Amino acid sequence: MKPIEQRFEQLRTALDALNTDARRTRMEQGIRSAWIHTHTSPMYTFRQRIMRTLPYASLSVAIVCLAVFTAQQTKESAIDAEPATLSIHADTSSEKLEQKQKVADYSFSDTELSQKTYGSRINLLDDISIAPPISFREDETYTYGNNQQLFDESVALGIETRENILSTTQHIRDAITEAEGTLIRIYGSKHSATLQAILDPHRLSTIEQLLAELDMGRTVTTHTYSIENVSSEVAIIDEDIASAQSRIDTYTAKLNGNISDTERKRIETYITSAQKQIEQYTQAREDIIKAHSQIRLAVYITHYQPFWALNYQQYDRETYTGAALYEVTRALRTVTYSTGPLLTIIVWIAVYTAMLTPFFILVRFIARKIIRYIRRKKDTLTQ
Amino acid sequence: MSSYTELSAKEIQRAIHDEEAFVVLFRHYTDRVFRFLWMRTRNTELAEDLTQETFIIVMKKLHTFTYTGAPFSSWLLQVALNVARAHFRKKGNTPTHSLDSALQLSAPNELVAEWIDLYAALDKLPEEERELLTLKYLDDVPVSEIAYILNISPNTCSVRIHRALSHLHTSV
Repeated sequence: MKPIEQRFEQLRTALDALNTDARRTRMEQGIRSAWIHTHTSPMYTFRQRIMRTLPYASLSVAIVCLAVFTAQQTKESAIDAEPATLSIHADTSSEKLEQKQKVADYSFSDTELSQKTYGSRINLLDDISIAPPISFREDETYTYGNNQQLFDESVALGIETRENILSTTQHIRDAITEAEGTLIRIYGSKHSATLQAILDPHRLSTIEQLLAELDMGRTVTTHTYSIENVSSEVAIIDEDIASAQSRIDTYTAKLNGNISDTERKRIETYITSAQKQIEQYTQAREDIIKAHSQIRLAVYITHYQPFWALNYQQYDRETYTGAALYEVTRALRTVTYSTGPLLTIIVWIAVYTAMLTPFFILVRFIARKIIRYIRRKKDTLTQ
Repeated sequence: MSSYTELSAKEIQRAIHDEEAFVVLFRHYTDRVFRFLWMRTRNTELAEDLTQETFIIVMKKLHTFTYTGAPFSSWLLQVALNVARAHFRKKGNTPTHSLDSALQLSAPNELVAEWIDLYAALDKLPEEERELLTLKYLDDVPVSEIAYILNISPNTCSVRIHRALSHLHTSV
């Protein structure tokens, strides 16, 4: 008996003899006709070409479009970088006159807002909200009347929008009017605006909802928020009223006694004076309660400025990211100003090519791996 | 050790777009593919059809072949194996009986009798072992390529071939 390997060897030789020249020629003819059919098919060649060139063509088109768009944006932002010309002052608007002037001495903290806290942009508001020490005076009165409390409330909210600042401000004004609030002041520029108003605390949520809708990220930033118990202001007036009333009672008792006419006249004058005082105190008490029953609202509206807006002042150089963005943006701005539009586009093409090419290579690598893996899986399933 | 040579990467690359280069590729590998498919079909006419089908698929898919270290023939035989499996799955045919197929070969009676025994022994083995021995001894494929085709590690492949050969010895 021959070893198995030898039998296999003989069988292999015999099998090779099976594939005769005639058979080879027949198969070759079949292959040639298949080649002609496959490679002259317009759909096949078109698809082949598309599949090969599509990724590169897409990348090139994307880079050029991005470069042109960015160059255009940069040009616009350069125009925007001019001193602000738009200024809105509610004091001069006719609507202001239509609104009821409720409280005259409302004042807001002199906060200058610029940006919402995205990235490392400068935000002056972060520095002003210093928490007061947690302490209270034992002799301070925190209630008045029948254990009632009075609070002084104020809130500063911020939104960032892609919409026009003027139309955004108009939306908020309308909402405040609808909420029966009082507009105090609006001031701003093309890139930001500040709106100040007072309104019923229960209507604040309506305004917040509107602000969230107007914000590009559908969120409202609360910059500052304060509530202070001011019940003592009313309690002091209450004490004054009680004191005046007590004096009236004392003088009234004296009037019933045996006193001279001169003395009676003097006492009656005192009583009249005390009664007037009580009226004044009561009026002041009502005014204070009325004033503090409303919340003071400040809304800071910022217009979104993308990276390529080249407004390098918006970045905080104290942080690493901010400093890097500051320098890059400044350099790009210098290029923009010192060169023409075509060169700017070329520069942006170079920048985007450097940024996107590694990403493209990575995506292509991953895509090929995935396709190969899927093919393997398919083959395994077939097997 | 395999006695077959491989085409260079350049020649394979050229075959994607050049008809003559593809015909060269076909001539170079046709015997191996034909024998490979004959062993799985045991039918000369069917093996010829499937060989042609294999090369047509290769013609269409050659641009997807990327050289990863494994020889081109591994990829080619993998395509041929898939073609054969797809054929039997679609048609539902089973390979021709070992005796008939052996008789199709023009060889001395003594040899034919030995091959009939060999076929019978092979048919008794599990499919995986039969596949391994066929690839190793009839298709003359090196162990590393068999491992690539069957998607297993070379060490595992060697161990399984050794085990399959022992089983075949027992059967014969």
